[in-house]
Amino acid sequence: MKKYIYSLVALFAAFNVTAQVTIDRSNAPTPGPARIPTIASYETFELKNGLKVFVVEDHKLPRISMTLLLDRDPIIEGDKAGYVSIAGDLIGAGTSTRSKAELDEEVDFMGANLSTGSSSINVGGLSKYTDNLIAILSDVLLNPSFPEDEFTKLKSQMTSGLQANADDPDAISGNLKGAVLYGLNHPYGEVMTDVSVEAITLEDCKTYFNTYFRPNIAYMVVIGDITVKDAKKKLGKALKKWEASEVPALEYAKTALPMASRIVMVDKPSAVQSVVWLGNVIDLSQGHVDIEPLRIANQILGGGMSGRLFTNLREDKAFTYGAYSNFGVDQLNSTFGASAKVRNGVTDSAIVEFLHEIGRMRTELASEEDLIAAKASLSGSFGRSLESTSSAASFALNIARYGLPSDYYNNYLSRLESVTAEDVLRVSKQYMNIDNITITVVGKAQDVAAGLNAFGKVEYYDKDGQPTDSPTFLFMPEGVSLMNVFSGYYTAMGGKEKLEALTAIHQEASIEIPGMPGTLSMHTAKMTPGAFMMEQTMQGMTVMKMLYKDGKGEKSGMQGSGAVEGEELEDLKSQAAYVVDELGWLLEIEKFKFEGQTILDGKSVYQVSKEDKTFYFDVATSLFYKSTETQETPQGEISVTTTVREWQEINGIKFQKVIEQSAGPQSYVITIDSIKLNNEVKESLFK
Amino acid sequence: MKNIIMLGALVLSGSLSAQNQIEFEEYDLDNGLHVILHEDHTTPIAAVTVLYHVGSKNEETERTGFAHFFEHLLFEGSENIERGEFDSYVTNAGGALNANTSQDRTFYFELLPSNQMELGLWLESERMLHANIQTIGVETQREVVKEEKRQRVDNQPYGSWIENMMKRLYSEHPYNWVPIGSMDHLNAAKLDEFMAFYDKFYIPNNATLSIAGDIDIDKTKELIAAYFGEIPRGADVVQPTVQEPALGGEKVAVIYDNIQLPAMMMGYRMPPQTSDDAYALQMTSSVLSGGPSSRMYKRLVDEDQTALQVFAFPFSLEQGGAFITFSLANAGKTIDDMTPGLEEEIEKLQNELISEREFQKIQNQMESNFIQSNSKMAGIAESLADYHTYYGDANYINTEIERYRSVTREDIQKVAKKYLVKDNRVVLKYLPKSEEPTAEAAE
Repeated sequence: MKKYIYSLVALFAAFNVTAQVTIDRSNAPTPGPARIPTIASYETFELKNGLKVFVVEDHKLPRISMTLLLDRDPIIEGDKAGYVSIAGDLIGAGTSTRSKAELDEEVDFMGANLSTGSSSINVGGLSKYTDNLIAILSDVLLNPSFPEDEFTKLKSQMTSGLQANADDPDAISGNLKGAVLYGLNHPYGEVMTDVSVEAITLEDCKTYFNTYFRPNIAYMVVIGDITVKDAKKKLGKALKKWEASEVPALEYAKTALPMASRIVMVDKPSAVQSVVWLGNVIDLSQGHVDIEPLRIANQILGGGMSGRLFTNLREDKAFTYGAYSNFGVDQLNSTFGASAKVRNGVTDSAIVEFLHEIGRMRTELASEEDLIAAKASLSGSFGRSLESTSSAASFALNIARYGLPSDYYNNYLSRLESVTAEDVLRVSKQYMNIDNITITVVGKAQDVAAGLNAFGKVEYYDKDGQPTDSPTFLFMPEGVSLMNVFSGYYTAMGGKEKLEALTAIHQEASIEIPGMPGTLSMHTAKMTPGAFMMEQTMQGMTVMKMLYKDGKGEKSGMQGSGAVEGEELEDLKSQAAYVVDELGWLLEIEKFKFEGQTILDGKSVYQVSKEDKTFYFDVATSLFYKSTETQETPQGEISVTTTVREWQEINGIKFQKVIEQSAGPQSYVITIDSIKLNNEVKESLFK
Repeated sequence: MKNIIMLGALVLSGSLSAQNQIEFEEYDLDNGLHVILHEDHTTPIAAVTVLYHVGSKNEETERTGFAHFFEHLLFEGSENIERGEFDSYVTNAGGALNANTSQDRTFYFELLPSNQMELGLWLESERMLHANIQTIGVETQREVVKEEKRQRVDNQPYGSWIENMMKRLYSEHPYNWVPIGSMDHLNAAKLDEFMAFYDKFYIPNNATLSIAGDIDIDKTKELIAAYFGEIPRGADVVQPTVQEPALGGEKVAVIYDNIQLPAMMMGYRMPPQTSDDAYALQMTSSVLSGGPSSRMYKRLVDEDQTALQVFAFPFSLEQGGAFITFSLANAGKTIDDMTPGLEEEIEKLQNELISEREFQKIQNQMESNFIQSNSKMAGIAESLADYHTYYGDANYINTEIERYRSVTREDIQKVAKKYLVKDNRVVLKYLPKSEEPTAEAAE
């Protein structure tokens, strides 16, 4: 008998084994058949006054939400920027029968919420309070009292809010983007300031409300535990007295793309990260056939954690906590953009990677794998969004507002599915600009501006979107002194010892002066101890010649000949003192002053001054980069700037090769064509 | 007025309707993994979540930030999932995923189309069984975490306040530091330390697998057994038992930040989140700042107009936490302008019982929040796991409201007297850097 029992157990065990799920860890499991998500149904009706109501019944939880939305054109607020927003807050700040305190108390007592904005009013709470919520909504909408004291309070709160935003890099970035993409005189570009808020009057708010809060441009969205029949009855009764009235239509020209790429920046000296955005306005409206291809392109580029931007900038380079792209479709102006917050030191490198990834989207066909993944991800995201019945309501609203086909969202997944790699490439080329892209940066200019010049001349703005001067960044770097700068320079040239060992030099240069026929040639030669020669010729004719030898100087040329004396002689003497001029600096080191480190032409430079003259040394190469000085001339003071554009190496020593000089309005380029050293230099030059 | 009384009566008599009951099944695997399953077919999605009972309070004092760092590291892959593929599996399946770390726990989740639920089990079991902990991932995520800190703390006005608060409020207890931790500690940590942390805390008997959504419970159980059954049990995790001495007097600190509006934060030590007093403090915070009719909001924002914003909230943690008031000054107002309003509103709670009506109001608010809180699968899965972990009773998702209901007006007065006192608090005064005295002036 026992035996039988055993076998019975064995049988069961065997049965269990076959019933048990087997898994293969080395591969991702294959999904079962997908259930297609359904969009909750809605009903719509219109009240006599023109208000269109959408109802999505959802009885899962005993709660309700009612939102009134205005469908009005964007408004330019001008020198009173902010009044529309204050008007919105003010609607909820008291009615003819309820003070703000009473209103707040009544709403809070139900554990409900009320919020009002410049084009919306929302109430929500448990559905057992539906009648009370409707009563509050209609009271706020039909009988706002616009109390003076609440108005004054809201204005001061708005001013405080502006101060709070003044240090918020995201708020600054928003202002900057609006101002450069659309301009300050555009509904999407104008910026609220202390001055504009101060100018707002209570009358402005009342006028706005009376003009725009009209049922003929409004939608009411009701979601939750209510029947359509009840909604119709209750809202019809409560909002019966709300009167229609014509609302002005406002039109704006489409914002044009800039002619070329721009890089704009707000300097925030305390920043430890740069808020970077790259993008442009695009011509795309709701319902357009390009939306799904662009959605897929955006998903591949920067839609989430597996987007190329995230993978590259975060998971590969660790530049940022997150990098994404997105596009917004709007009836007035749509935009495409990509953004990240990156540490100061990699701001330029991050932009390079952004441009690289956008560039790839525009030139390479997406792989089949990328395409499938993006479609799956977007379909999934759509499915998840349907968990919330508010999605169904917003779909219904969009269909009505933008005149979309009634099955527009039902067909979304199939439209998505039909997108090809070629479609993705086409829309990437069309909507992701690269040749006239706008790059905005909010960060510490001192640390990041130098690198940004690679993308164009940086234009600076203040936090309110107003153009401003480039910031000056002069600061004292730690552990750097005048001697460091000089000895660094000597070392970069080839070493002080090598420079000191030179006994003679002869340089031949050609100078191109715009507007002058022919090339000016210039010879300069030096020989130890104490001989100097400089001769300028044009077409073989000597224009000027200077000679210094044995303590005497003379000049000849078109401006006459004769002995050189006084200050001019001293100058020649010092020129002759060293074969390499710069070694002479050490003799009068007390005249030099190290001013600090700054940024010049996008380079980090050390700044050194000597009386009226300022020298700049490239921090990266330690070489002399530029000097500026003021010179007295018969025509008055002029400023002379000398910039080294190129260096050449001879016998292990670096010499200047191409020098750009500007003197007053005149500028010219000096090219050193040949350099002879030591015994290659002819003594006859100094005769 | 009549209306209001009727409303009150309605609330008192009303009980939760059956439709709000969250039904679930729970059990343990042999290896100690706790499993909670909630079935709801409304939408074809499933939330697969794993809660590890490890947070920053389980860290060594010289290795703060480890728990949060792990949250990053454990997206790096496993023996069967290549580096960088963890995210793609989920997004390519049409899902979403993320994780977060607190003082007390680390929580991972995938939201998937329900036909892909098994993918979530595979990924989470791989993460628990044999995650990939390698140098390249450690190096990369170290830099990413530094960027996260810059983004959330260093480059954010007032961003450092929680860190500043906690390090003064707790001296012995690991609540002294915040989950983001110390970048120096992360820099100093070696690979084998990371591996040891994984072996110690990422074990089934320290985890709760909670799944909610469009699932078949029987089928899901079989799959869970197959994916998670083989994961070996580890040594039981012992939660810290640090006894924090009394604060012993008010601590005040002035912090100069890149801001324009001054702000003041007051933090009072709190009892553990499961205690009756913590519930009373939760109700107290509602009295102070639950909605625009609340006491502090009405006083400081609407009447005195000294503050642009004010809120009081219990930052409840497993072993304590902080009852916080946060007030942001209006332009032109100072911290001294805000202080009397804040102090007096707290004193009033200590000296007088709140009115019956006010009491009714906060009860209604609690009920409304409670009823509306469980509307999405992700939230349900998370709440079930939380309640199991901290209360040892996942059914708190249905019954927690009773804890609030049992708080009396006297309890509110009692906790105000017991906890909201100067000797038990840290005050942070955030001032603009422009007001910082120079070194000379300070001397």
